[in-house]
Amino acid sequence: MAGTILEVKGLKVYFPVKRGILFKKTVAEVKAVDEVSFAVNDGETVGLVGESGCGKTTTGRAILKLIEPTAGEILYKGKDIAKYTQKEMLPLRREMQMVFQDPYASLNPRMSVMDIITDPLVEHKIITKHEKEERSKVLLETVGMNPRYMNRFPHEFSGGQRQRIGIARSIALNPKLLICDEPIAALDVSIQAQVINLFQDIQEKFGLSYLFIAHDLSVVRHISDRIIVMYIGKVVEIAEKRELFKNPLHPYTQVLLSSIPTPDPKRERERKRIELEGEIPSPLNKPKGCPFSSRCPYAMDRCREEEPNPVHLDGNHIVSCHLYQK
Amino acid sequence: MTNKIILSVKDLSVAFHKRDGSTYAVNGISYDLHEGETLGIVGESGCGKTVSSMALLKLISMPPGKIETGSAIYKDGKDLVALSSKELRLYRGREIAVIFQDPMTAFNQVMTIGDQMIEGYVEHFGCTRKDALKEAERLMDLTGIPAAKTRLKDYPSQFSGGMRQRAMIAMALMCKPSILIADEPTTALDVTIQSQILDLMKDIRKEFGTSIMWISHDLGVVAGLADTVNVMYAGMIVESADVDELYYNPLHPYTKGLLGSLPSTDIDNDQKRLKSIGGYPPILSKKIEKCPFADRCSEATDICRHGCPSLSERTGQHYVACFNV
Amino acid sequence: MTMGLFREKGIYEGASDAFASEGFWKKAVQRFFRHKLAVIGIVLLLIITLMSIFYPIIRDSSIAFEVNYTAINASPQSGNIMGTDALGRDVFMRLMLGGRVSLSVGLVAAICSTLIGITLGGIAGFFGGKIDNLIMRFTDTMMSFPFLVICMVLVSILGPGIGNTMLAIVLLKWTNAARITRGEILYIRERQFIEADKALGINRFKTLFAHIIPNALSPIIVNMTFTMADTIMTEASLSFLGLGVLLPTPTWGNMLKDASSLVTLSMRPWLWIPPGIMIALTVLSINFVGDGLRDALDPKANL
Repeated sequence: MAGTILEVKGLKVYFPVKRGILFKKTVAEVKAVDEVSFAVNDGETVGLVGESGCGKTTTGRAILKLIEPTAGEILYKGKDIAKYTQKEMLPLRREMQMVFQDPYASLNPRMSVMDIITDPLVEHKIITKHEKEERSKVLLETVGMNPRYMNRFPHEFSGGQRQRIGIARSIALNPKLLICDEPIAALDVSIQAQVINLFQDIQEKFGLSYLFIAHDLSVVRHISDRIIVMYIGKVVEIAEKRELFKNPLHPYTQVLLSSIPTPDPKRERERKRIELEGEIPSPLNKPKGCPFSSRCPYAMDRCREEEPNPVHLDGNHIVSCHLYQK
Repeated sequence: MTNKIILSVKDLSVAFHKRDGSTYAVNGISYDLHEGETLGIVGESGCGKTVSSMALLKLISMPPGKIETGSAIYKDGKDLVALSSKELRLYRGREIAVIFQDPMTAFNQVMTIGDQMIEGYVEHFGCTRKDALKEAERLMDLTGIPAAKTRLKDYPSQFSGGMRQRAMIAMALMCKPSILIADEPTTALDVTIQSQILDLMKDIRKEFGTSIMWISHDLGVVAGLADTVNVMYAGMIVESADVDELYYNPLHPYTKGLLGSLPSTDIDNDQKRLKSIGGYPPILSKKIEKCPFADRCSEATDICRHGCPSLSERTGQHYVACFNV
Repeated sequence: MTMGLFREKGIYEGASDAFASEGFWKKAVQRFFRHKLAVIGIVLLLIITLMSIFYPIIRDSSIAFEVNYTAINASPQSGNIMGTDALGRDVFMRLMLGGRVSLSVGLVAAICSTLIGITLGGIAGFFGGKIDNLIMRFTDTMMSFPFLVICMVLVSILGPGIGNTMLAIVLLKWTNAARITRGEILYIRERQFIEADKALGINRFKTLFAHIIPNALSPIIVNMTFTMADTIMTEASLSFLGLGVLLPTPTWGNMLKDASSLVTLSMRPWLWIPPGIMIALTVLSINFVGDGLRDALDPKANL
């Protein structure tokens, strides 16, 4: 793996909570993403996992500046784009793309497939209007769809087919980095496998880097090289996939891994779950200190007082937990 | 699990006839549910798993939905299909209770959890509100809701997702039903919460001896919970067997494909590509005349394209609907 | 990798060419004509419109205005198929001329108020923030006035007449369209394909015109039909109160007012039943058409 394509340093995304009728005042802040740092290397797939409200989707959107980051740096090929205006972002939009979760909501119902996948190309003046047909043919073939369908409308397709259309649109601009926001969560099991394979084929063909956001750990395990685990706005652990699954260090990661049901009846019956008290706290009233301290079986006094800093261990293993603080 | 059959479904077909065409959602399925058994019903969206289960209590909108003639659902010797909705009300919640996927929409938002829990109980048993509330408190406590007594006075929106699902389960248990139909009750929950709910369901099964019909698309969840599994495809049961038998020795090409398409659970297994089932499930706009999986099946032969196989027993208690097995 | 692509032919059965895609509007027309009441509505509306336009051209329309004391309050007969009124004028001709006024007031007022509504609602929804707040509070204020009272005040200031009636109605009726437009735009703006556009680097105004407005159009068109029905009723009420269109120009409303004496009501039903039926029939037809449009224009329906 050569260089680093994306580096996020101390990324914060806070949403103000406003009250008032005519003159709205900010009464509180939701720290959706708080001090998140990680990197994605060229040609690498990084999985970003966590439960709802952990900020994984917000992180992905902030990187693409679909949401304005509150603070922090987003280094794309070494340039900090965090403060870029939408106009300055335009040329970069060709290089960083997103695949959305819901293949029903992310395609305009009034546009034909051809327009959907080639409009960005016309917009960026990469092709002229006359080349649309030819280009959509190539793109549809790339994602395994019959080009004869290009004049159809999104509602005429099944979820899996629509996700293929969404992928075709995202790769049309020939991006270097693809942020995939739960791209298979809305699909059926047998279709999921098709789409995961498609992602891998495309990566091989175009040498893309992926930031693969998902809550399904077994899928992330399959597709990723490295995995980032988040918990209410914080990164708790980053490691190579094999390292993470064999040697999870953060108590939350351990719980998360022990919670994945496996399609194997005997192992599933014997599987020891780590009992976890309570539910995920709302990001509005995060516990003081370590965000996991309210549920952590190993929580010490220190955990409830002081936020742990990320600790770099052997083998590129990063964990934010007082248990490993030197 | 005992050998006593408490629910027997015979040749159940459900279709939706609308102005712009029909959908044949369930096509002649038959199965038995035993006392204390947990039956997993597995399949992808649109395979009829939810419709076939909701049709047991006529909880589908009719019309356009219709339980086709020839269908029978026997519970304690009575055919539920023949009952009027007034007679069926005695079964709903009392004999057979449902746990829905999305507890947010399944609860009435403007009524307290307590009032909703006792509604059916008071109606079925004719007891006082006070007694009913006491029972509700006991069950909420049992399903792991802290401070049950005060929480009974809360509204559904004051509950978190996991707690709401617990309350839903407690509500379903109120009338001591002999059958619980759980329609993807953990799909909307996070994995760690799902884990808690699955543990709770196992405890409940032990405590009450209730038979459970667990509808899910998640093969992992079903593996840990079910005794028997029905695999559905295009409104048909294509395979039915004991859970271990089904997972370790799947016979139907669809079941094989489904299990094979999951990423390996073994971290040392460096699998590069997933095995996928090509194509997409059929649109059920016509009555099924050939094997519905034939178009996606790598083992399909000529007979598969000309006739529809019926579910038949291969080895002991292992049923498959396939010509080539 | 082109697996399974041809296996969904089942869905497209009935279409002449299995590979030709039907556009949204073509589908919408099909859906509209499947709606029986809507078809009845549009046929009735067409008949009423065509007769109002052409009957006064075919027959000399002066019989609607010329006072004829030899045939006062004549019951229906040959020559005057709906009889004559207290001044001996032909009721049927007056009815058709009244249709011209009512329908044109309805149409013009509905279109104008919708245009105002789209503009204000569109600005509010697209720009958001303070502008949105300002426009919407203004809309709320307008909506909180008692409609008929304000209308009467306006008309009495401006003076009665067709133009002023339209103006008064337009000034007070745009609020619904504004609210609906704003709501639709806010909803569509949050839809993921708009976010996808942003990620793809597509120009903001292109997004507005190519993605947001076409998707917001359906409920606005539907609302316009209902506004039209409402406007016809309003014009009739104003004319009935003597504040709308003035005599001798006939409208269905002032024909009713003309026939509102007790004697006429009990003795000469041909003077008040026809305009009453016309108002009811027209409003009902337009509402049916509106219902049909709502079903036809819903992109999620019958897919």
